[in-house]
Amino acid sequence: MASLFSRDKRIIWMRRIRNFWEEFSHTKIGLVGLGLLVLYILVAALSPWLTPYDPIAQPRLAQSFAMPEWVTVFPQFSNLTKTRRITLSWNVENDPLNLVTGGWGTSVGVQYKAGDLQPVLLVLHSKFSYAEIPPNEFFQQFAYQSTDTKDVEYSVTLNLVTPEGEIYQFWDEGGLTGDRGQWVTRDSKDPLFIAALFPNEPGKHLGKVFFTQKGEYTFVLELRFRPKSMDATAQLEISDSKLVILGHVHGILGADYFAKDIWAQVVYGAQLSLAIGFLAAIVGTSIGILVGVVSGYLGGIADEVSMRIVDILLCLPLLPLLLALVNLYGRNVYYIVLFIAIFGWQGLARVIRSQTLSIRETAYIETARASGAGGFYIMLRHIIPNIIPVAFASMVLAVPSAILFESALSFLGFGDPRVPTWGKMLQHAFQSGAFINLAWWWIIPPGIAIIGICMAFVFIGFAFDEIVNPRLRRRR
Amino acid sequence: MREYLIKRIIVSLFILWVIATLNFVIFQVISPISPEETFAPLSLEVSPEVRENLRELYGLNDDLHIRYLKYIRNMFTFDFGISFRSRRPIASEMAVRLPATVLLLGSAMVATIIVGTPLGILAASRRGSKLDIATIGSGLLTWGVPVFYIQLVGMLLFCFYFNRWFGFEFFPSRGLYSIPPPQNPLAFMGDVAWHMALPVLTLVVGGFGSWALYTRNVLLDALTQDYIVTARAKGLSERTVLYRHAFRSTLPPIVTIIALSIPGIITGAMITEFIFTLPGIGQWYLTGLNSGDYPVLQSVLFTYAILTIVCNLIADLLYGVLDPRIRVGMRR
Amino acid sequence: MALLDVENLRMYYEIMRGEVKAVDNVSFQVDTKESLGLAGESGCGKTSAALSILKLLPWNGKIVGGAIRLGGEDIVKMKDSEFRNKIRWKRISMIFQGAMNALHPTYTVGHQITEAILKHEVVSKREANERATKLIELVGMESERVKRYPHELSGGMKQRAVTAMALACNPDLVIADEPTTALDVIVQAQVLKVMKELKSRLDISMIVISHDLSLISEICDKSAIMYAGRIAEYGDVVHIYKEALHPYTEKLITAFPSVIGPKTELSSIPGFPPDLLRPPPGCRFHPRCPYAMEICCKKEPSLMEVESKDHFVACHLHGGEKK
Repeated sequence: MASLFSRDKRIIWMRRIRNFWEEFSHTKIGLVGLGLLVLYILVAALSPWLTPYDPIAQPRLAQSFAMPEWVTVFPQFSNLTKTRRITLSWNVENDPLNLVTGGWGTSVGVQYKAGDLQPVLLVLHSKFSYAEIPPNEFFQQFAYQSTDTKDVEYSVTLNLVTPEGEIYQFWDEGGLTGDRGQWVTRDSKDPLFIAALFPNEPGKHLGKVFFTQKGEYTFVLELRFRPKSMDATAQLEISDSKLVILGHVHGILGADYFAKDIWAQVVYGAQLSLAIGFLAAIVGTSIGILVGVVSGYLGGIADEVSMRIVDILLCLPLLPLLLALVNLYGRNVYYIVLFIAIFGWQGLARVIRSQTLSIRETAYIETARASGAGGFYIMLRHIIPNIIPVAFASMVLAVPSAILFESALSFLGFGDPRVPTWGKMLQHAFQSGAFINLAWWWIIPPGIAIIGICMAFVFIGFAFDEIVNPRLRRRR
Repeated sequence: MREYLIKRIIVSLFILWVIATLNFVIFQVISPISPEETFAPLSLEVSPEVRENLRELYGLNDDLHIRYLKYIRNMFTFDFGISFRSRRPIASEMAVRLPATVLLLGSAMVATIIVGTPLGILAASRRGSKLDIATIGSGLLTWGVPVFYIQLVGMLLFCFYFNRWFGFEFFPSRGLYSIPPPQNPLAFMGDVAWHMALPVLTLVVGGFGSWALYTRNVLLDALTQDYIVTARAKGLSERTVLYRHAFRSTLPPIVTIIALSIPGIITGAMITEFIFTLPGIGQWYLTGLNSGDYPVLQSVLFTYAILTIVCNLIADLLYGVLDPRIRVGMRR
Repeated sequence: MALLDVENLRMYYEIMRGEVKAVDNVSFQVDTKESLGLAGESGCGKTSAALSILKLLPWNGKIVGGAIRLGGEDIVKMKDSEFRNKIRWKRISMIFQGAMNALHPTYTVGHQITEAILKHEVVSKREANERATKLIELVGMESERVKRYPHELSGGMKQRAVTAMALACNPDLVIADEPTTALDVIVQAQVLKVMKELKSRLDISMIVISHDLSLISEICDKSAIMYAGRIAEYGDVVHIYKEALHPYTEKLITAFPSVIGPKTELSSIPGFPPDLLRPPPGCRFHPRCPYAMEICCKKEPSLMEVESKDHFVACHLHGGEKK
């Protein structure tokens, strides 16, 4: 084994590789393919720097089907807005008893101590201006927490006052007693919220109701305390309110139905595709070489059996069978890769076998055998090095077919649910209304990514083939 | 010839048997879910007696080897049993779905050949021209462009964007015919053709390139043969050389590849049926997968295998008919 | 006037790395009933020269200069369609290397012969078939072989069938391209015999292309020795054999055994034929020539007549260039 990597051998191999590169660098199409491949590898390696978002777990970044940001350069989209996150600090509007004790950074503290049995109204407000076109989606969040409550009943009401003075109630919780905390999220898509405001109009577009007017909007928070005894107390902490007006546009490639960043998914898909493609191609090619060399060199029963297996594999309907296997054994990406590899070596095995047969008859193999070399040694030292170019060309072409196979499986819904490949993106797009919403930014990019990576390998493989197969060279 | 045929048929039957066995092993032996769970899930409240009756009905109570023998007998007599899901015989279910698949693939293949072959011939006869380079390019593209993506983009453009821009569906995005279907048979045929147009068109766009490239390469191979020089030397016109001498010798490989590619196209059409919601075999298979309807899966896989083997056989025989060199080999 | 007069013919192949000068300034004549042998190593341009005469160049080959006159008419300038209908096969035909792929595998031999007849002559199909049968008999095969496919014939038979096909339209000139190569010795002798017979019976001119000088000496009157796309020596076969002047011819003669004749020691020519993309300067043979002088690597020798009549040589050793 050691002599396999002796210095002489290494020099010969380096020379072979250098010659090969020389020829390869003269094929334009091969260089284009290589450039593309390098691009994909860079994207795969630099994914975390290319996008701040995780491909799976993401906060709500924009509205569903937010278009890419750059569409705003076109006049008909120029008024579309990005996501706006507004943090609203509370200001005191009406505080007859000086209850506000000050803020703790992002919240306001209220200290209530009853002097008499009169109800007390504390009004806080917070202003922001909005002059864009109405958003399709928004949500508003704030939280409050009461401590040290004693003999008091209080209520929290949040209203939005539009520039024209219309008042919409966001939150109203009355009759509260005791210590408690409350997280409030009001979502424009929440049917309960809509029903609370417009009982007879389910599905009302709240963005258009609230944000059609341009100018200063005010959130008004009213706290009412009703003491039950003279020494009623309460301590309230009210967090700043957060208003997120989800953008019509987002990021480089917009957002999908789940409001996830599409660019992030496309970028991270490169790693997955390369891994899936290479893994399946390497395993499949190895099986092909092994079967081809062994059956070609040994002949006899080994040959007969393996060639019958090849015949059978060639008669199997691959896609349906793979779907069935994946369905049975679990939608696991490793299984998928393995199945693609296991069912994808038969063609190569035939080629390798016929090559081995012809190499076996050459004089130097005869010589090696005559001088007492064993079968294993001959296969390793003489046959495999000679079939490496063909096997390599075949492996390069096996990568795109594995990638295409995986994306077909994913698209049909049999991909690994944890692995967001481009095929899976297309499946989501197909199933989640990308078509009816004309969300081309969700449908086009994953496919372009698949085509690009496949063409990279197809181009390289084509160039390889021309170098390895002189017959093809004549055809060009 | 007869001996050769008989030998081929025996080998084919052997391969079929192996595939049938594989089918049985996959679905009934090592399947992690036992078949009866799929038609009567354990969560379902079914009395043990009913469950037992069902097992009896589907022949699941026998020993494994008995089941295997029965299964093999059934497969080879095309008695595919009863679907778990629809409780109807597989054969009649298949007959309902076959027309859509055959129509889809038949028209797509014919169109691909009609478009691709002349393109390949033109490219080969004008080697090195722009047309030739375009043919090579489109052939390479088909290696890397998934057909389902072409279909998705086609659907997005012709069904949805056209609807937005022009206010009508240029092509329908789903189904084999309108609902309700037109009563007039002629109108019905037109309706089906309208529904089939986009699936077929996109299949052709996705497939003509490789077909043209293949024709071109085979023809170029023939054109570089010595006998073409002989034909030219004889003073025959370029047309005669190309269409009589060169094309004649490309017929065997071309016809063979047509026969050999049928099975691949049929399995590939599964995705087309999925995208355009066409009620064909592929769609049926996918539904069967999702509901664990093993009799459906087994019989579809077995039918595909039969189809592949028959196509291989036809390819071999056609090659023999078209190429006198092989014909002699078979006569022996 | 010579039947065929090739004058300063230049034929280049264009490949990605440049131009391959396969035939470079080649001139020769063939008289009626005369036969000329074109000899040389493989790749020396002899087949390219022959293909130029029939204008059967591959897509990247072009005649860049010179003239080919058939009965005084320049066929280089002739329109393709006219050439195809009037010259090819009718006046110039070719015997291809039959053992190779020269016959179409999916047509019968008879069909391939009648096809040529029907193309050029106004005869009925039956008549053409009869003529094909006669031709097959002429080359010494049983008449029923017309119905055979090429793969059903042996190498020698295929060679005869190809020969018969070449005679289909009674051409004035037949070019035989390596007619005996790839045949075994006994079949070679048979084919040789057939060709000799035909030559004496049919009064046709011939160009025989071969790397086998003994074959050429058997059937040809004149011979041209080609090297690297040029003619090295040209003249009467007897002269060339008896008194080879060019060092390359000398080497070529000693490199081949003769079918009939005294036993001599075989020698090989050292080195390789030059790369025709970048041929060596001066005499193209100088890198391999044992007698190379200084002038040989600088100045190209031109074809000069030597003392004996009709014997030309391009070599500085033999008067070649006057300084």
